[in-house]
Amino acid sequence: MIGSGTVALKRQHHEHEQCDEIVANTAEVLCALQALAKPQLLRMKKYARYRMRAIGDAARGRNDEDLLGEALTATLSGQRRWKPRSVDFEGHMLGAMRSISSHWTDRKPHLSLEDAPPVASLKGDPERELAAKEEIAAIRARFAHDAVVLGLMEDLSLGLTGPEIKLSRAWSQADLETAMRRLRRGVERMGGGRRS
Amino acid sequence: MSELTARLRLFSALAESSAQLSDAEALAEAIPGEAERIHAKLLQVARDHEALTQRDLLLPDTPGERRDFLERVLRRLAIPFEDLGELTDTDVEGLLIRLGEVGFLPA
Repeated sequence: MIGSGTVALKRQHHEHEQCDEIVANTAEVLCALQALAKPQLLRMKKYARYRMRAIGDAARGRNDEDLLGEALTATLSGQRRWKPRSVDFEGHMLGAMRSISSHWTDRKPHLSLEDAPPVASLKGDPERELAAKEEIAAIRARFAHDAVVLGLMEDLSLGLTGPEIKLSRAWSQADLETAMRRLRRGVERMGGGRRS
Repeated sequence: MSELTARLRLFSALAESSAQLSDAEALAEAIPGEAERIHAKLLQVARDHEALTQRDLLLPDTPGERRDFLERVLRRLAIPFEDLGELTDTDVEGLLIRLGEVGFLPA
């Protein structure tokens, strides 16, 4: 009995996994797009804006709304598959934007098939390094009198995660969220980046 | 650590934190009318995509690839241009569709 129960459970688990793999068709994507609520749209837009600032010049002239549009087009064309049972549409769009913008940082620009000009890698380009340095310096200057946010910036730049920051600074979740909110609002008041 | 990496990590963290905003926070930090404008833009992207797929033009799938494709087409047609950076993805798509309509692209 135990054996057959295990088999039944495994089958159930397998079927559940198969359900999770169901991919939305175009009509379902359009339906989800129509139904997006204001907060979802605003979070997606904000997310796109920060992703574009994260990659800087690697965006090659694109802006945050181009990133949003590319994530949607890729979903409609089937290049990025939305699995509604695994993630809601907003979550899918965020994931697609994360992936697409990361891909843009890897891509070496080329102008034509014919001449294929030599292009320096995006990594280590002195001009881009300088632009990034100046951008971070400007943010630091804004928070010159806010040691908490400066510390948070330092940790984030080093790649520390939220739990690691809380541990190393003995912060509560509320401390982290408050500092993060202050940083985010300060950065947004500064503007900058290529906004649409 | 390079400055590019530091910026990438910093703004990526800000992006992820913004994804965690509550509905009330997202609305409180918004510019009036922004959500409606983004929604209209995304719906337009969907309409453009639909129009494109119905035209049977052999265009690349993604906006990024279409931008590269347009650059190559303009070069091959010896049409002078400096930078397509000011064109939005919708502009690029529209321009390719127009080029297709006048017979400069394979259908």
